[in-house]
Amino acid sequence: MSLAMPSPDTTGEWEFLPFSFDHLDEATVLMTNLVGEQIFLTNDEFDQVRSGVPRSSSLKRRLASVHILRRRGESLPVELLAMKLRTQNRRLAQSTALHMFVVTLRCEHSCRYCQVSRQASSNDEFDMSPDTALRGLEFAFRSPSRSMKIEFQGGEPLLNFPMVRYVVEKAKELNREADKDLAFVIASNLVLLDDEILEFCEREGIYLSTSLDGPSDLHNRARPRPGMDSWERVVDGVKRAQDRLGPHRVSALLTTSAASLDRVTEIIDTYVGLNLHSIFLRPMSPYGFALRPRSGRSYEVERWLSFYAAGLDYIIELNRNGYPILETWAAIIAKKMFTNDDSGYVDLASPAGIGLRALVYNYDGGIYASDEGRMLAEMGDLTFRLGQLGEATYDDVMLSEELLAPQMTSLTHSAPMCVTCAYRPYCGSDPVFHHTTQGDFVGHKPTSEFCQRNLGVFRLLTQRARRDPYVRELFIDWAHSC
Amino acid sequence: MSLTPLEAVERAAYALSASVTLDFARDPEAPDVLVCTLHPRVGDPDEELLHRFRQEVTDQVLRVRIGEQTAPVRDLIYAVAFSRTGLIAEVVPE
Repeated sequence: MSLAMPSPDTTGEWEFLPFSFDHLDEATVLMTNLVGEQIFLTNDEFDQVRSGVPRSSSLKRRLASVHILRRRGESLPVELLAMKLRTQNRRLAQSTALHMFVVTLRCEHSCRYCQVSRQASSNDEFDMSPDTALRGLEFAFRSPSRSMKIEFQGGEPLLNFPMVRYVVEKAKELNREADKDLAFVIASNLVLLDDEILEFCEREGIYLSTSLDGPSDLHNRARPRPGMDSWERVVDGVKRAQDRLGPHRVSALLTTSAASLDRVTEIIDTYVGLNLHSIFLRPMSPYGFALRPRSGRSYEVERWLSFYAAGLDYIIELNRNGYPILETWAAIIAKKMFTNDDSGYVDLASPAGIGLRALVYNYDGGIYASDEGRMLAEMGDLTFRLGQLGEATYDDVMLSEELLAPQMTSLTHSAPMCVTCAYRPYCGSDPVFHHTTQGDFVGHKPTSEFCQRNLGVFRLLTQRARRDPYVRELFIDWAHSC
Repeated sequence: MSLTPLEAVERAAYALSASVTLDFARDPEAPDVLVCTLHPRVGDPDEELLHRFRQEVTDQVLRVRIGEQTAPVRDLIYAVAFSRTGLIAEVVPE
């Protein structure tokens, strides 16, 4: 087979600026400029672009309006693109905003897909000590970021509530001098939520994030605990937290197992029934206990994408009918797609969010580039372990080969296929995921689950927003809410 | 007319490598002609696969050409974008 193409016209008054494209459907080509702004062309129009600068004046004007074409030598498009690019990357100089404290590995649940190495709830040798917590805080406050979110993770962090209290009080003390925008989140199953904890959360302005997998049978099957009453307890906890802290201070996360895939409307209805106004239709991650055969993780990307599409369409209809509810992943992407801004989400960033957007301090003082890196360590893979509190300095960790190597090799600006992908400005690199699933930091993109899943979501959101002005406005509204 | 850049064929081979692998070589009788042999991972080569590969190569040709044409202005945009970030301290001459 031999292939030949006409050379595009490179002379004349107009010239192209960098762009990428994707065949969105059989009749439409999506073009995006260097910063991800979109334009849609028919196949006939795109054929003109293939041949060089289009002859059609109106097409030239449309392409120029999104900085894909410029008059030769014109400087304004360069300056505008540079300004937008700088804005998109402004967080680079403001690392690291999210600091996760694993205050205990203990948990009284035994979730089928748990991603962490939980320990029996009576085994306090897996609790974080005050000395380790203080070193973690001193390390965290070295970060240049003006905002700092401290998230308590486990196990179940409320099993070591004295350490939660200690970290909150100590962080506020340290912040009198540092003067950062400080926020706290407890990621909890809410089973142990009592009046004392609620009173503390109310007084200290702490947010609660819990897990809710949908209807009781689905949730309790996935999240067994003594008494098999996890759902009843989390529902009770959400209601009490909403009453005491206000509806905006408690949110819930879904973990999608194979059993969830045919029940998306029931799952969303459970959230609506609890007066929750956001849901994160996230897939299960391939870490920790989630890799076990019984975890329920074994489903195809295509099946998950169908689940996601059905869920998104249902959420759109709920909004159209007057119940405001936001899908978190769509909101994160919409912020990049429609506002030239970025929510700071760790898993959709290039350079990757590990270390730069999030750091994890394990109960034993181990410092990790991400929560997933910690889970890998529990499985015996120490690739993303960056050091030990009390031994490694901040500079040691942030300039370590363990952090820089995965960052530098996985940049989407240089990774194969990513570099020309129309959706690159909305996406990111995930060296932990690719290391886990494919054995290297970059991954093989044509078979990457991360790539297939994100491409599917980007195309879905683009199509839905293009077809329906209401949906576009809804996505923009979500973009400004996250 | 110009020959398809080899880079475009290589990129197409990578993009479709989940379903097909590729041998390619210069034709000894016509060195400007690239001979590609497709090996589907499952089943035999069919028309649909050939069309997908041709379409992918066609798209990659445009990507390679636009990449080359716009490289100077892309570098300029990045230079302008990151020239005033404050990430690197300015060196003040004594």
